[in-house]
Amino acid sequence: MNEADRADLELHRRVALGDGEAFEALYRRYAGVAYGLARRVTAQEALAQEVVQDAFLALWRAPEAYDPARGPFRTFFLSLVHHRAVDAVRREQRLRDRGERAANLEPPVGEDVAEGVVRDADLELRRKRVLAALDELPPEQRTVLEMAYFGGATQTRIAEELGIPLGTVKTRTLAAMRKLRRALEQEG
Amino acid sequence: MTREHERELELLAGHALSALGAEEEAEAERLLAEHVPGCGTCRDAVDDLQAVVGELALAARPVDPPELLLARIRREIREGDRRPRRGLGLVAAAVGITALVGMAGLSASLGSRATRAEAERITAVEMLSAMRDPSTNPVPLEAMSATTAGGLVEVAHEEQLYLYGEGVPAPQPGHAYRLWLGSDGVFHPVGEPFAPRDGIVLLRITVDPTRFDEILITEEPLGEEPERPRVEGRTWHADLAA
Repeated sequence: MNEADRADLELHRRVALGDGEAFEALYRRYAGVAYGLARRVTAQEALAQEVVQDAFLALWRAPEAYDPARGPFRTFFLSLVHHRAVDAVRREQRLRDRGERAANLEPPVGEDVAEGVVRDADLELRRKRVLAALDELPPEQRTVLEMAYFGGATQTRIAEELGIPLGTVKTRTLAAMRKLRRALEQEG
Repeated sequence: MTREHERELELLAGHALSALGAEEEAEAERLLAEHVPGCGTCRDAVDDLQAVVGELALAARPVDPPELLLARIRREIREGDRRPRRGLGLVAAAVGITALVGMAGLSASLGSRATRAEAERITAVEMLSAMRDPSTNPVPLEAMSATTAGGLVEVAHEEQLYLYGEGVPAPQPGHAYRLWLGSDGVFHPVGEPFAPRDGIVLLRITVDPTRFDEILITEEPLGEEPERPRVEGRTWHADLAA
């Protein structure tokens, strides 16, 4: 656990005691990353804002849901944001599939939005490491991982879209996640 | 590592990414409840998979959210703090005790789990918090046939609908339960198909339940997108307008 992880742990401990300043410190550190993730998964700004708001309110209302024994606060919180973003995008998809009015009718967000600056040096360093580790993955493994993670697609849908057996999607996904884990562990 | 373990880890990887269909998701949940707590290899793997899911978030381009978002969160927190914490009403008290008992059991079974486990625990805490709110109206669902045992309660709060149940029987093989909301006799399926784990159901769905006057839970064949509720199987019902 590095210094930034220890700082998060202390902020989380204070949030559990109802410390609003500690909560806003965690918001300042993670809001940009959380919103960037939610925006990419949902491709809808309003929906992404809803996901981020929901995740931070869940943190405020139920801080005990994070168990420090299970890993850094960062991975817990960003997993939560990802999980809620995928739920949101599936909910929207169901509405569209049934030809009903989706909750958000805005056009999907494009890639031309100015990139936010990761002002936090630790997160910026980690981001570079994750991007480098993704670059090292064989393309076929990276594709299935990104379709699931950022596209919110089920493995069955990925298999259909790529025209490959479901078992192959599963094998590639696990292999990709193992390689990422090893690469990120080595980097520390 | 055995081939069987590989298959289990592939399932857990899909679960960590929220990329499984309903049937496989139920299988992963069973694995997490029954196998993972006693298997060091799988326990470590689950932690590793969650770490990857968390770290991958950093690969998305960070985007500063609008200033308004923090203002909205602050307002939500302030309003939450101002809500009176009065004693629970008669119906809510009975429901609350049931929910607390169920939650204790759930927490124990989630002891060594990761990924969705934290999210589920948050859902449980949120639901209990919603129950304490005087504006919340828990609605017990009534079993509509003799074979439909178990109690289910729907809790509506701030455009969130929580569904809690215990002693809920597993659906027939190849089936899952579906939640429907109805208005003027027309029902719409809401959320994903679900199945109880150890008899417990705990769901959180973002929907405005005030737009509907009936709630229905039916047993539907997996892999089908039903257009109307199938009431031939186990069914629960509640009248929201009552």
